Amino acid sequence: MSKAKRGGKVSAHSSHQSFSRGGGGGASVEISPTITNMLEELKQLVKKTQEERTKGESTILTINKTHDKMKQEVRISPYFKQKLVGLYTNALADAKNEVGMLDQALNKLAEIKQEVGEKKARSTAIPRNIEDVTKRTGTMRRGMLMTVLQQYALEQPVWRGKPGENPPPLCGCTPAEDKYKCQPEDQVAARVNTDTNEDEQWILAVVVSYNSHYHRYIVDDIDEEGHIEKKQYQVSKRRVIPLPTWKADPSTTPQALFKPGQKVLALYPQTTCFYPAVIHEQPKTVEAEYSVLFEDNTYFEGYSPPLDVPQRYVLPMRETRRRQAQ
Amino acid sequence: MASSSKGLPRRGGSALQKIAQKKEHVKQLPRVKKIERISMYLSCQYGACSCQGWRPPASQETLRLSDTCRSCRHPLENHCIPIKEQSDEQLDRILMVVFDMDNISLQARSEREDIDLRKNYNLLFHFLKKNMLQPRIPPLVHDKIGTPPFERPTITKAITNFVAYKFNNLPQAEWQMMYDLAKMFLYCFNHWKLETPTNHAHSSATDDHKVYKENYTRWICFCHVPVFCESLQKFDTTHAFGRTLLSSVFLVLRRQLMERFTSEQEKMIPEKRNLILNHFPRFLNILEAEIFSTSSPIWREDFTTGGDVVAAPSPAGSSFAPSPSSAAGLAGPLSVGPASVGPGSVGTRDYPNPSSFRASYVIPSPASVNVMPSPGQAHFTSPQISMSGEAADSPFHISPHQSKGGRSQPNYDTSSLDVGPMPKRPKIEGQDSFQVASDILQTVTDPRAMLGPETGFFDEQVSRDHTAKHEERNGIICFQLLHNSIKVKPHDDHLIWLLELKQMFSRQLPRMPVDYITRIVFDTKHYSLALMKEKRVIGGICFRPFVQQSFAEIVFCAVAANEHLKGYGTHMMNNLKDYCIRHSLLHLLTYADSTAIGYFKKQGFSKDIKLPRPHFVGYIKSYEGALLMECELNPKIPYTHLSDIIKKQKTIVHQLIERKQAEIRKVHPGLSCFRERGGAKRLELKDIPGILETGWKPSGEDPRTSYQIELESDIERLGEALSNVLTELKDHPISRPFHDPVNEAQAPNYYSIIKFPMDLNTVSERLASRYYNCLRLFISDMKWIFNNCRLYNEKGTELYKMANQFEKFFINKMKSSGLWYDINA
Repeated sequence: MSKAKRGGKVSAHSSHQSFSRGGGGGASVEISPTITNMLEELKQLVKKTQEERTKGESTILTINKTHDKMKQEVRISPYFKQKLVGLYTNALADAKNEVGMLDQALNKLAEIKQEVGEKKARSTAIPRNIEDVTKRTGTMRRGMLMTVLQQYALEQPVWRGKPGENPPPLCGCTPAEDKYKCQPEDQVAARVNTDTNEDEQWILAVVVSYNSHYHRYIVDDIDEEGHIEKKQYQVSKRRVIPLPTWKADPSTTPQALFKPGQKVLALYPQTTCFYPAVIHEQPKTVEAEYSVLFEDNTYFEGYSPPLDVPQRYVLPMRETRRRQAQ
Repeated sequence: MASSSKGLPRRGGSALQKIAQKKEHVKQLPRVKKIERISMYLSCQYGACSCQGWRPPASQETLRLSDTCRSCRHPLENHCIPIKEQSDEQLDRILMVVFDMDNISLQARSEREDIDLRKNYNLLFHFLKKNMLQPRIPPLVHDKIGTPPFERPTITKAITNFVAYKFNNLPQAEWQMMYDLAKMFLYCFNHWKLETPTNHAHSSATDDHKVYKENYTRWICFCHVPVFCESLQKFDTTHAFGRTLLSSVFLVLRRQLMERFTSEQEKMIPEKRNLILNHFPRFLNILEAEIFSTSSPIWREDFTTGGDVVAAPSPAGSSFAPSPSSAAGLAGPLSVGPASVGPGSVGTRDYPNPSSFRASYVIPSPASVNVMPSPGQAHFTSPQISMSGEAADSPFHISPHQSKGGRSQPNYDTSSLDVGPMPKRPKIEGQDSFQVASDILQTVTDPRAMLGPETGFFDEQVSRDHTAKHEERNGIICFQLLHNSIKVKPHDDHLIWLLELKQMFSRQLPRMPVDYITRIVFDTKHYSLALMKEKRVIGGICFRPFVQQSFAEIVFCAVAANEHLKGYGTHMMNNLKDYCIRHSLLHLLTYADSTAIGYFKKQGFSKDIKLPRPHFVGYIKSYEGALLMECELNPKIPYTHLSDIIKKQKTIVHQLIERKQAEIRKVHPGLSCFRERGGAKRLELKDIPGILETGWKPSGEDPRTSYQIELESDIERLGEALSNVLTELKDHPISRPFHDPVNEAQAPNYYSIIKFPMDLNTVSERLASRYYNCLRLFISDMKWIFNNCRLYNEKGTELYKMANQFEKFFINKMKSSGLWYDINA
């Protein structure tokens, strides 16, 4: 029988990330009272979780002590058995409570994220003034877009399942089901012809609509700099790969990670294009990124040096028909 | 008296305390005893007696004025004539001088091995002796030694300049830190014992020993001895000396300081330890570069702020620092001319003593923009922004000024001490606007005020190089100047980095042959500014300086593919610009291929070459299919800080506008003159009530010609003239798409993008209804047609080109009919 183990301490992880980039024009957006309240609730939840945890701690300590004592005996006496059963039942109940608290906290976090997201959407929907529209047509500078994409990857939720539960589709490397339909506003990889002269490319795009009759998506190129209107493409369903909804936690669901050596499509750092690559190393933690080798025949080995790509932008390889023909 | 092994009192407090105690003790002596002590330095007044000083008789229990001198046998009375009648107070004062003289002569005797040093002490001794009976010891004046400050700008001033020049654009907290470090540096320097000339000769081989010796003598007389001899006027080292001394002792000073700090680190409080061990070395490195740079603006007397720097043209080719490590700092005797001694009257000034140095420096820091701090003193004179006049020649002109309210405290402001009174600047808003600006700056620089929920992140106004600068400050990235050389073997690391740079260039510039890149990168005439991350090269600019032609040619410029779009390119170029300015290279030239033109345009390059052709033709090769582009550098601009400065200026201006608006908020009733029967046809802008109150001024000149003015007075004739033009426009074949209003079926979303649609037929209708009572209205309507077309259609499309062509045709027609003028003028 092994000893009972526990993870580390609970920390108020990323409850409200603050960004040190100075705001422009002296205009800071106020935190709305709802969000402030929600943050306060979140804080209370995290505190309670820690309380639960401390409560459970003593039980675990007793369990471990009992194990130690038991080792000294030649035969396991029914007394110890009885005692251990009781203790484990208690510990289990404690753990359940703690999980319950954590669940509540995570839900609160999701709520806050949604609220903030909506606010953001509302504030960006209104063009500041006519000059802005004419001059820059409201688009984001490319460098800024890259930062935002990084941020999306950072904010991507981690999948949490019941013990023994298999990760659902779109968690980590688990592909979407065949009948899966991307929703408008979803970000996807789409294989399009960006320029009539060039080869097709997998680009990062946003779904506009889906025509279920023809099985075609209309997608916008996410990179809009230099265009007055967004570049739109019509692509068949086969040419669209949804981005994963959840990150896979390497410590709990390693099966949802791509294996080293596996061929994938990965977003080349600081671009909006996906290229074929091979997994070099898996991420070790939830926050870490894959290390991948991009296919690149300008290098002697045929691959680029290892580059880091977040889980969100590493997708299962999909051979297109044209490629197969070749 | 207390003396250390070298015979000099230690500068620590204990020795000084002992001296003070002894002085107290001497003051307690009976009057006759005091007279005796002073008399030792007074010559005998008896007849023609040549005795120089009283010598007490061999054994004497009680002293009387009638006792006779051991050497001349005349009574004490004869020795003490000049002081006999002095008051007790005066006597005490003279006694103190005598006490100091004792100390000095003791000191002189202990300096056996160094004759020059003894001479110095003797000099001081005789000086004091000569003046001991004066009611006040005058400042030491000596032909050979001179009077402080010996050189201008002084070290204090230069360090002040340095902080202003290098760190003004850092955020408040970091600026404060640098400011504190500067203060600490000055403090340490003032309490540092200079090496004796002999030691100095051992430790640094390159210096001019004569000059150092001279400075050392000065230091002894004005800075060192006065510490324990209060009758001599004390000067702080950093106030008395300038560049010559600092550059000759900097390396030693730095080494000793760091050694001491390192050995004492256990005793320090953690914050201080962090400051000293982590940031001080960096501070010293940056300082070193400036001290030894021949063209650094910090040594300019007329330096005012970070922005207002005019780099002195350095002697051609003299100072191209090859790389930070290869002796950029150590090499070369710097222009060590005769120290410029200011005209007299300097000595009478009161300099702060070390204790006031420690005084708290309360600065309501607006300082992080462009306000020059004065590390020397506590009180910070309120800076003022000059908004006009002078502002024209320097866009970043914010400089400290003395505040209006008179302060009782003597003004130690170093800038005014060392440079003399600041030139008067026209005051526009005066104190108020400063108040406003500092308020605003406090809000802008206060991290708490600017912390919103995730908004900053998506702020599109963040400048391109913001992230890169942030990363450089946090040490994530750094810059390295690399250079291959045959004379001096480059550091191994540098060679490896050059190799990495070559690899990076050849990967990013696949059209360039590898051997060509290799040849250029390793060429000894070419330099490379490399961007480093985690000790690897991730970007770089390879350039060749033409010092005598005062330009540099950029040969390669690239950033590794996976590090694109992080602002590194912009930051790299800005660093290069600053570097070039430091070396008086005021033009950057480059042959840009089609893919690079966009980048160079963003970096302020244009195909419009300002440098006269003879300056570069024959110096640089021209390339097929590449466009020669140039960026002219303005030495007044700190390019790496430009975006921050502009952003802050914008903020200030916006806030000023807002405040102004709040002040004059007033709602005028709508205009009724058009509604009234037979009302006005036309109203000048200035006649609209309230317009002038906002500060708007009508532009001086009427851009219209007299013919146009005359025409506009007669709407019939105007209509006729316009109608002629319009007919010609409509007949032009290219005008087809502009005849009718745009149909949204053909142009999706047209009206969501175009808010002011216009077309030729609408213009015709307006003309018929006599809407156009002046040319301006007509021209602006026509402009909407062209601009709308160019806005909706992408550049390069057929329609876009047609709009351009049609506009040209329109302008030509208007000009030939005498109807054209620039309505935006």
